[in-house]
Amino acid sequence: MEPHDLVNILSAIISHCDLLSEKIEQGTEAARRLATVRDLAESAVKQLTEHQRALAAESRKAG
Amino acid sequence: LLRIFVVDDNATVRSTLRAVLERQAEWIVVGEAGSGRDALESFDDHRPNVTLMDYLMPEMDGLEAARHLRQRHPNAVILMVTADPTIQLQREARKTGLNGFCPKDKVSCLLTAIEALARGQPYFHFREPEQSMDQAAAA
Repeated sequence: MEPHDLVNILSAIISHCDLLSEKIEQGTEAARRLATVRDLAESAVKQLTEHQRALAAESRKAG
Repeated sequence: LLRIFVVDDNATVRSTLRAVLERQAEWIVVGEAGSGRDALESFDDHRPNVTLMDYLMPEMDGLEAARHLRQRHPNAVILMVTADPTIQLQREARKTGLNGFCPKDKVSCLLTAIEALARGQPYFHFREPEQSMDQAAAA
């Protein structure tokens, strides 16, 4: 699996969290856990994209 | 009805975008394409009001697909979506003549952008001086 595919899957998870959060009462444990899932997915996207950018910069330097 | 065409190489993303968009009354996803080439071939069948175009796709990226689409359909309204949004890419999208730019995972951005595009106004996620000029001109 390419990093891009993983980012796509994580993006879909984030979007589904947003859809679900509209159905969940705010301030409840479910809402907090859902927010945690969203934050984790968002953090993973950020780390993956930063890693990809670093790899691209390295390969440009090497080329 | 606002007719929307979704172009993304990832089937999970396409179905997620469909779920997000079709929750809006009066919005319908009239077609999906898994590549830029498929999008160019099937665009005429769907006659969309707005096309969501992923940036990173194999063979032909979203900017190139948008350029080809624009050559054939100068009035096509295209919103670029990407999982890796950068201001540089937004500038390229703007230079290519696209109507909007959004991160793929920001539901609120997608909805706001499509509403703006449906009103004939551009919508770009990153705020830049040119944006306010565009928006002022469109208002």
